[in-house]
Amino acid sequence: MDQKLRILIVDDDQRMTHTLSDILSMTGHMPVEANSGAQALELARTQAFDCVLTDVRMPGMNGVELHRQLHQSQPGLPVFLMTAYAADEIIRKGLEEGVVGVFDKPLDISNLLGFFTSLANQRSIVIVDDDKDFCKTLSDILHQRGFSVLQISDPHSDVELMTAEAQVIMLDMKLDGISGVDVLKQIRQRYPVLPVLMVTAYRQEMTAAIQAALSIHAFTCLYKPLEIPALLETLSDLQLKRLRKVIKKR
Amino acid sequence: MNLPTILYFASIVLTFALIGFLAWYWRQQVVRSSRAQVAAAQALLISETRYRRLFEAARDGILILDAESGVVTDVNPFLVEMLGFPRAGIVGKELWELDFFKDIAANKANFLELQQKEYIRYEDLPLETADGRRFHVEFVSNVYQVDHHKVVQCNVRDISERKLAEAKLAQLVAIVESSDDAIIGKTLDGLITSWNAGAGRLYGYSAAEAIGKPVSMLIPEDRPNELSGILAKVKRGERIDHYESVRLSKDGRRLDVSISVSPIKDASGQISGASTIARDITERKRAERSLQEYSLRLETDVAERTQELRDAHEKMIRQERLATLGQLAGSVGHELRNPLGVISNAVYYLKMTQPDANATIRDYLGIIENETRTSDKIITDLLDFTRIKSVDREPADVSYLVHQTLKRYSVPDSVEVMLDLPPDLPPVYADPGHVVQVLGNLVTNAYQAMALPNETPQPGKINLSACQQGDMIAITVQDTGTGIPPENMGKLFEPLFTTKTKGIGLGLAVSQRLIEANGGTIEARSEPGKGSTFIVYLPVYHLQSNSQIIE
Repeated sequence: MDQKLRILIVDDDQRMTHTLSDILSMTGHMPVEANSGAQALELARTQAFDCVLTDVRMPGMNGVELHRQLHQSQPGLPVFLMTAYAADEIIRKGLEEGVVGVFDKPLDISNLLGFFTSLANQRSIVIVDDDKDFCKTLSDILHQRGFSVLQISDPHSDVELMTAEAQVIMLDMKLDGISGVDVLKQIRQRYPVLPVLMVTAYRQEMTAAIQAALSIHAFTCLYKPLEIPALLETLSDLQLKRLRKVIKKR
Repeated sequence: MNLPTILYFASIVLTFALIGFLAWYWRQQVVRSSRAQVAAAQALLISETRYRRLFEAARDGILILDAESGVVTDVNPFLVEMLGFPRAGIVGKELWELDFFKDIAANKANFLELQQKEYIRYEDLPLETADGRRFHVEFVSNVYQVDHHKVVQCNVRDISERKLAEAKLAQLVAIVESSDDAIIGKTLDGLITSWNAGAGRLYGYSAAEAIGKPVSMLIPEDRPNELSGILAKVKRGERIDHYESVRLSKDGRRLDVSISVSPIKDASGQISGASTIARDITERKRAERSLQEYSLRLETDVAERTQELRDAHEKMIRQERLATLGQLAGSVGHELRNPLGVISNAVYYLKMTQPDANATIRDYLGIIENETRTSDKIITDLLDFTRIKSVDREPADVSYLVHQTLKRYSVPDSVEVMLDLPPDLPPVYADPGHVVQVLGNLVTNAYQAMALPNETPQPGKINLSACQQGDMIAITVQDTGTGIPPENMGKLFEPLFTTKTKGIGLGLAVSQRLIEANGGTIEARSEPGKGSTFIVYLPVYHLQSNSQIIE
């Protein structure tokens, strides 16, 4: 998948957004500048971004308020704060509400770039379902909600293909010619901790299979028709956990 | 003439002479007797008149009764006036018929007694006048014999004044007796004449024991001339007021007393003695002494407290100033970070887009980058000091922390690092970031201490060791640098104290704050010329659920 990230940079200081934007462009990303929370919201409404990097203290809407609103509409869009004020109460609140991380100003650019690279890797929600329509509709929803999505409707695809860009796999249990559990087994062979959400329309029928899946550490089992708000929350939480782990490693 | 005839004539003459003599004598007697009678009558008249005058003019009431019947035969004007009753209503009546003598039955009984004893005396008899006024009289009755019958003369004396005087006296006595103070009367020779209950309480002698004794028995031997002085003054008619002295009680205790002495004058105005009022002021004196002590102590205390207050006030002002400065520093620091951020971005960009720039340009870019970093460090120090970062404590391995420090704060080439970190050392319970920052500060100081004034590094040794001391781990950073002069040792951890030309002087202050926030302390030791040693104490990590220490 593309290592290029569409990054929304928000800061009332234009010099900050310009310099950052230039750096990020030079390093292969696709930055877009905004100088206010309102402008940022407007841009995010019409364009898809992979992440947002916003200053905290801005006139009008501050960075945490911006995140709050963004998270409502696009829970799959990771938001990072940058700030000159390291130990602000506002920041703590932001982190509680789901801001992924905080970068101190002056920014350690190499650190930031390294982080974006990690972010770029394996950021997709991979939907594995032979029901193309299901894939499409779900994908559209998730995409609209800020997630990166990859659809795989051929269940016999290489596991590598499925897992290469995946941060989470949504795996249908009843696939054409192969059981979801078996696919899960294959995944698990290579990636014991990759979160896999089993999906099925057949609650009663698949009980045994579900048990089997759970026993090989399927994250959970979801039933069609999916409860979208719950799903969004689960995915958002998983993404947050993963990203925070990445930050910590650095 | 013959003899018988002579004798016969002689006897007749003698007989006539005798008769004549007798007649003369008898005549004399008669005359004498009648003269005596006249004289007697005259005397009687005079006596009677005299008596009458006394009777009439007496300022006591006199009542004459018939001894047999008890009937009033005479009453003098004074009694009439005293009783407010007409004479006619009194005379002729029996004594107990009279209203004034209310207690009739008693009177009758007494009358009998009177008849027997011929004398009766009432010291205090209540009488009521005609208009109802009650008063008391002394009633003395005597039985006289007058012309063959007995007469009772009753003397009635109004004792109201006497009673009043007695009452007043009783009151005065009561006042004296009830007084808490000792009231002692003495003669001009110093002998005790009166002794009230208060004196008994104060000195312990009873009245019987005291009266008649010399008052000098109360005066301690170390005041030999006091009594004579007092008595001399009294003799001159002078008073002594509130004279503080010491007296002895019966059981030998010394009593602090305040005495007032005044002369007593007799009826003729002569000074006949002295009256002393003595008050036990032992308690008061004790209180006074205590008060003095307290007063002195108070003064010292007040001085101390004032100093403490002043110190506290100064400290408060300093803290206020610090707080204001802190806020200011905080705002300024934060604000500075924004432009620094932009500069840092710009440098990064330039470095990134000019990989082929000449060495000078690259150098300059490097310089800008360094200076930006330095500026940021200054701000960080300032902000760290003015605000405590949140502390996230966790078990941390000391060896790991030391190595992280050395990695982040790179060792100059001229410095040799010696490590003494026991592998079995338990972890500390602290925020790793904080510990690394503090150790970094200490090693940086060590590097700088071992450099020459112009910052050219000198060969030096830095020794990093750790050991467990009870519940704490001690991490020691020792260098072979210039050392710290003794006068600076006390100020080391004070903010804004620095001996370096660069730097704001917050490093150690921040380090101390951070370590303290992590439950530890920092100590410093130094020998000028030899080197300095800084020891960081941090608590050992104990697993809460059981007492096992995790490795």
